[in-house]
Amino acid sequence: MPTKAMFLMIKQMLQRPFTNPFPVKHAPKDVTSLVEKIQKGEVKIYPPVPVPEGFRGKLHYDPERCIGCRLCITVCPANAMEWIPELRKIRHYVSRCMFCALCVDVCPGKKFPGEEKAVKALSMSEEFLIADYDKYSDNLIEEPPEAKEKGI
Amino acid sequence: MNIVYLTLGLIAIYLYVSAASLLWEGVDRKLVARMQRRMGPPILQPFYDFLKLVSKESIIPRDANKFFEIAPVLALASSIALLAYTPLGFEPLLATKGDVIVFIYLLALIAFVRVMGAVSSGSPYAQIGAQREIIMLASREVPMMLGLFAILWRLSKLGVEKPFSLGTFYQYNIWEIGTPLTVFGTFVLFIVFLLWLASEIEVGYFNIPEAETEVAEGPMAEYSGRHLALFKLSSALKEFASASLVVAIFFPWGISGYLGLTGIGAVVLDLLFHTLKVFIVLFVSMSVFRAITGRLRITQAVGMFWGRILPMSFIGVLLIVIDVLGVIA
Repeated sequence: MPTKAMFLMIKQMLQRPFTNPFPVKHAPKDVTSLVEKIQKGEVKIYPPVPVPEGFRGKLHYDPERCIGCRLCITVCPANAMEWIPELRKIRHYVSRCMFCALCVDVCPGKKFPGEEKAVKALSMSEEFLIADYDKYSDNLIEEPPEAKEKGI
Repeated sequence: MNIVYLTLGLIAIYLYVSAASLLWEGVDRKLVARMQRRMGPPILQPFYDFLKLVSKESIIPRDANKFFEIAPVLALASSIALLAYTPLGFEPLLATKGDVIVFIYLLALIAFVRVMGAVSSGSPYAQIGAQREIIMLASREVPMMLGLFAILWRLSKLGVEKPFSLGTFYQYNIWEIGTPLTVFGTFVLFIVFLLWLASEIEVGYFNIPEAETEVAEGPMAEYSGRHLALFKLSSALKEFASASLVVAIFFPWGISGYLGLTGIGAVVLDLLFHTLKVFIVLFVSMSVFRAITGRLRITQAVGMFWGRILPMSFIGVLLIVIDVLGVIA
């Protein structure tokens, strides 16, 4: 009989569980009412495990800083970028993205007057809860706002 | 006793034991989770599982024959019948001379019906699981029967009304005899019975027929929906009945006698106390055993039964026999 394992198990039984109960401790009876309660501040959410420094989450695109050099399209291994010729900007599909951040590395950015250094148009955010019902939903496509207005 | 009262009693026991055994499954899952530093499911999870299985669609394989659908009902029926012969802190409802044979027969019948259902499903995984189950069945009953019959024979020497009935444990218990040889022999048999219990409910070393990772749930591979729910309930009842046997043999003491209760109050109190003892025995033989041991191969398990547990049982029985017959004075 593995007695050593038995004592370890009994010892562990008396310790606290090593679980992060995200988002709430028990599965809610009704998810919609839970979301409402959280928005009202009645229920507190246990935060997820904190992300480390340099975490590569959902790509953030700032069209103001984009000069239309198309380097990100060249370098993207997953073909997640699309060129919009009318605006000379890009559109990014998060559902195809593989979060390698090569586009962030290669992006030259744009320097506005009065600034010391150029700021990149592309950056990795810390957002990782990006599940969705539709892979083409607004949440999963990064594009200049004009593109949506004009329906390009 | 009147036959109407017997029926009512059986229904009441059935309802109580179903609730208690499913509750134990929840407690067991919680405890094993805590041993592995997980939070585990809520205590009432087996009840939710049961309700969900009952409400799900049951798929009958194309190659299955009629017995596939009858087997779960028969398994549950035999486990309910088993409850009438199970000592639950008081004498079994249908305690008569020699009812121990019926008890063992019904206990084996549940496993046998499971095997028949698995063989009828037409799935090779279920067939392999069924082969393993029947091998285990043939190996594990021998040491248990030897020990059980020896203890009942020893108790019948003290002059009981119904020899070889499971009710005799509440008249005399084996520790009362008190001679060193008997105590030691009984202790050896207690270990044999704990191992037998683990193999009867198929946990730890003996989780071989249902080995999830090797033969895809074994005999239960093709069962789904309410058929699976019936099997789960019957195995929970069987778990409780097997543990009740161990408790009745080795720890038959009630507490109603000390409190001076009589009548229905005593029965209820003894039943609750018995449930507590069953939970403790199952904690040792099921929760801890399943948390700390992996599964054996079927050849190793059979070797363990015939090579280790059966000799252990022989030693325990011989010690008791030597004590009674006075071979060494």
